[in-house]
Amino acid sequence: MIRLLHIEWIKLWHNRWSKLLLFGYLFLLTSIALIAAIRFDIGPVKFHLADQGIFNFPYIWHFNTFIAAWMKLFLAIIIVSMTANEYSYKTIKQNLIDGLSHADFLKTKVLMVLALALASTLLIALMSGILGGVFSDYTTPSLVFQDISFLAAYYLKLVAFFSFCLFAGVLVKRSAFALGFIVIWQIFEGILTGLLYWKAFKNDSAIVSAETAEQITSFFPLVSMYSLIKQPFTRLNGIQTVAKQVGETFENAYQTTAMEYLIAVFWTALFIWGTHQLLKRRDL
Amino acid sequence: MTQTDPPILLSVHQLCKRYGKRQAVHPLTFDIKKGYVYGLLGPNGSGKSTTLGMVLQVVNPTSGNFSWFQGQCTPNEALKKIGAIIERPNFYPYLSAYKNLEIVCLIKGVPLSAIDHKLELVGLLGRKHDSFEQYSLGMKQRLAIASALLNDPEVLILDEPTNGLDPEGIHQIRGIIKKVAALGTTIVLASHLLDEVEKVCDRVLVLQEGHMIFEGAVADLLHEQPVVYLESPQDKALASWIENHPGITHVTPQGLGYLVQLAQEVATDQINKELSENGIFLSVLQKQKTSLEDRFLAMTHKTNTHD
Repeated sequence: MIRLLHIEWIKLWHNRWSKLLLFGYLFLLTSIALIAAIRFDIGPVKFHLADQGIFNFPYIWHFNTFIAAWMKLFLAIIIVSMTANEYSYKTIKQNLIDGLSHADFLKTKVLMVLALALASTLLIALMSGILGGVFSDYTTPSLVFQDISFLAAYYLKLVAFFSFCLFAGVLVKRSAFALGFIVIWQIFEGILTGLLYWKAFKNDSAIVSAETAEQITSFFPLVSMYSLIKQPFTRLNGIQTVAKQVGETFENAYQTTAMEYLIAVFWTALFIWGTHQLLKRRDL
Repeated sequence: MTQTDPPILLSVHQLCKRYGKRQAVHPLTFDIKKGYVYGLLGPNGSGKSTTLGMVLQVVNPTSGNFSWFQGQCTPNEALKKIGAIIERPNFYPYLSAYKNLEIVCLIKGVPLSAIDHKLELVGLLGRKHDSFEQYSLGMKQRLAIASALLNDPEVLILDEPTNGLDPEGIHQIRGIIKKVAALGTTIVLASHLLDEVEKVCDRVLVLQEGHMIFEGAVADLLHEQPVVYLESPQDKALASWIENHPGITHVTPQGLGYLVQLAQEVATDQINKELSENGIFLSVLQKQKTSLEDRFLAMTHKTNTHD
């Protein structure tokens, strides 16, 4: 396993663009901490974002993983291009001729996905721990570790999305087109989701109710990955207060359900399986 | 008379490949034996690369099978004992020669110390930290050979190793191949450059449109029918003698004389003797060396019309 990871590491680390993207990612991820510095002092209005409770335990786990998940695009580009390049350079053919089996080739890529996701998760865990330690109003251990499961959801979210990227890279074989494929897929899911809800809200005797629409879309690959970490904003005290004043309550359940984990795991497995099938069946 | 046969390294049985409607390779059966240098000949699109792709497990055969090293190891272990380059050098352009070979070492399970040694063999040691994309085509091709030699392979497979190279580059590659062959490495060299095959190979397999049309020693192919050039001041007498001789299968006038193809059993000195007995004296009697090219063209042409 170390050997396979080492092979992938040489390919990745010595690529100027991959390295640039990695550092860019690292920089953006750590810059979440800079949010703490946001403060407005406009006359009587004093606003310090860090005081609004976004860095409170256990909320911080939710908030940070949600924000950080957007930046996975950087790593996704690396994964797509590192995979598609194997085809454009024809190095996949040479790797296989040199004696790497299809399964081992797949393993090098999957290990890269797991390692990048793990590194990102550990970093976000460390940062959240530090930011929380500094800014949180509550530091009782039971509260600190209460929502730590968001880290697991974050890890799965990255692994699932990167597996999708891996599949796209192998399927399309050209990095630019593979990224295009991912975007088109996203749009496709968006249109489908929109259609379902439109049907649901069109009239009362709808074929699909809003609940059914939500249930159906939750099975879409990208929706399933997205819903692993739900938006954290309506959980903020300030927003809750405002909502109560206007007579609105949020009934969002913020926790990730077992079903949601399961669907995402299913897609991950399917994408990796599909990648293996493509590798095995295709003539090079 | 029968010596102990050299061990079979690769045995191919009824291997064929179909791409949609096109049958790229018709069922092929052949063995690659230890210690020989094989030439795999054929025009472009004759199925050479597809055949090599199948035995190297990057092309899935439609049917048939093959086994490396008499099936004593798994297909992937077998590939680790082989060195192969296919069509053009495939490396990571942004990596240095050394890093590229490091990946190959990791795949094949070869110690990194092999890298410098092989780079020296192909004359690239001084440029080992340059990135692959900065290399000239000749250097890329030599790096590919170094890569294929990293594991001291039992079989070296080279597909068009001199494709696109200048004469200097071709000469260098040929030198390296000869050096490797001298070490007793079994080599399979696919090429459409016949003179290259003639210079380095012991045995040839000739493919045309996916069929194997010849398999045997290069010498057999070349000496199948000796050709002799005859010229005499007594031109008419010579011409009529040639025409009536049963041992001459084919005549072509050339220059002042005739190019005649002899049946296998007819020796040159015998011709000279017969002619002088008939009162015809030759000014030129020259045994022609048939080139592989002539033979190859004759052979592929024959089967073409046959189709």
